[in-house]
Amino acid sequence: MMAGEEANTERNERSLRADRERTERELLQLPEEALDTAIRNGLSMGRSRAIRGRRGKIGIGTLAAAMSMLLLLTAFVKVSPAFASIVRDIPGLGGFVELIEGDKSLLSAVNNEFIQPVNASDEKNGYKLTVEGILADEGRLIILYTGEGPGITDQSEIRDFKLMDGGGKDVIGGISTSFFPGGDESEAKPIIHNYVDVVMGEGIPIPERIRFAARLGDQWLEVAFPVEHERFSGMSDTIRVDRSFAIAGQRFTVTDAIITPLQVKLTIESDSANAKRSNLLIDIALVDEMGRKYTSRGGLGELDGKITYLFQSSYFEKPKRLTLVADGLLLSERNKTFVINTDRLATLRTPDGRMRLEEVEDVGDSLKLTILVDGLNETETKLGYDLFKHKGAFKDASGQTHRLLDRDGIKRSIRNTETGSTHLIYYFIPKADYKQPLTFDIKQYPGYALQEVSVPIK
Amino acid sequence: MEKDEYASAAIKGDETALLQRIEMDKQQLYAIAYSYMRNEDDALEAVQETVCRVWVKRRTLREPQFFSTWMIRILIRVCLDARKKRQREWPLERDIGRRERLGQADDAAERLDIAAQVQLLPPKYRMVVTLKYYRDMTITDIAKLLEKPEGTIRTWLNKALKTLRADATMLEGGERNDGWRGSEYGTKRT
Repeated sequence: MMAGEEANTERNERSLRADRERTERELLQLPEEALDTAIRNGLSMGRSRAIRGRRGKIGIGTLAAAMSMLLLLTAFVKVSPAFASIVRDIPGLGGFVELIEGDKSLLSAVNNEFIQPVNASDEKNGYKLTVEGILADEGRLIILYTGEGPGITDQSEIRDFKLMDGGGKDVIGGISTSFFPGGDESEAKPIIHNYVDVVMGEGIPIPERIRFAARLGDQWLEVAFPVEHERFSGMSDTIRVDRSFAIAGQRFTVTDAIITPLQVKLTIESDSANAKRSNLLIDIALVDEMGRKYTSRGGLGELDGKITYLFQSSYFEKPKRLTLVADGLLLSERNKTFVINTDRLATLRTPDGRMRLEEVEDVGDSLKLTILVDGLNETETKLGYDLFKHKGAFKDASGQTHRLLDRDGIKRSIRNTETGSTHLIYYFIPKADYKQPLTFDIKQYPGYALQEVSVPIK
Repeated sequence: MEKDEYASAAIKGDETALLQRIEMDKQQLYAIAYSYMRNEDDALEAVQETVCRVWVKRRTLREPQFFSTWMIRILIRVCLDARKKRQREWPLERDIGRRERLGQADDAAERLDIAAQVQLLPPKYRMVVTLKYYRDMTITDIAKLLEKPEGTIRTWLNKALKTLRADATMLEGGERNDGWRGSEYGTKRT
């Protein structure tokens, strides 16, 4: 473990030094004029601030001004009076305003009082975990919780938590948490506000009861609470769409859309006869008749086949019309191979000249292959590519098949450049005396077609 | 006039002397601000705010020979505060800060290269990393600048390095039916 940490630290130091070189290069172009202007502006700002500062000391005028500023700031948070009353009803909910503000669905749900107060806590050894409330519909669950205790501040990240149903079984779904590293630790508040966001897998209902466990410091705490299904039963609008569209000759069908208070799920199937592999619909969104846009935060499944996109919810806005829009498609040729010689660090065949074997590293029981894909433009940067199938196979020159090793998924590092990005994608293969070269089947690689599409949903 | 004479005149309220004294340090000032902020606009804004505070607080500097250190300390404070302000203004940053859990891949998170990861560190960690690795300062220099014991700076640095993901990589959930695909949110970053 310690050795791993040291290796990690060393690798980080190397990455930092490399990044520092980039910074140095950028610094060579000192914006001389702008810098001189900033310095002069700073001085004149200083002059006027010095005067203001002196005035401030005279009376309580500044304090009053500060208070009205505070009220004004509160007003900037776009919450309805209903929300204000909920904040009163659920003490501690106020701390979540900033967190949920970034998610249109959640903000809209809370504004419509679509929230179940919970206020249940677990306390041990000075640590306290509280579930303040939840937002739930038939497919998504948000748990608003706080954590307190020795060393816990609003800067802390809660890395370890578990979600179980009443019977103690793990909840299956896409589970994420918001972590928002705050500002100055010297001003840190001794409480962390966070939420867990669960998108249930297809056809899996939200459990009747949830057990939420989290580790604060070294202390595991657990809070159990019911999910009141009656609060959202019937709050689901299923639309049969069955409309097709094509981009760059690839055909797709929007089959249906399910609108619930916390999300819109929209399923798209690609035509099995599509010549090319579809990787991503570019900038996909829903737009209503008022021009309001509901963006997507990803999807379940694969576009080349069947995918269920998740969009921000329009449920409470009740639009008359909804239209699916996208700007194009990331796609790649099928049946391509990547042929490399790992002994000589050579790329013998590649579907795209920008993709090549960059490094082969002996990491104990396996070989780590670093594959570089560079020169990606902004559009191509929208996807992290799975070059090979996860746990897929490759062949050596003798025709023998080997498997890629599973290292908890695919690791990649993406560095943004001025015009797009450079991707490094890492794969692990067993350490063996392979007959070179090695042939890998390509799953996806960069490529795109820009073409605006617009499909009426309702 | 010598360096310290400019500083001395600046303390007394000589604006021209102040500008001349700042001129001597402006490259270093900008380099620190840029290394921390990683973009020109924010770096320039930080320099501007620093000069503003330097003028307002000039009388608190007793020893003209410490002008540079004193000004850099102010800059560091400005940088640390600027981050807070940014977080209030840019809710998008929160999306970038979202860390996915339990076998779920977030394209935004995947995109975090080392520079972006450094930006997500708590400000004081980010600052020590900036000063050590991007400005080549020694632990002793940093400790003096931040007015903290050297041990504290070492601890912060170690914690920061541990926090950064190995080799700037993030884990992806791999191919699974309930895994996430698509990357429509939080993908933009400056």
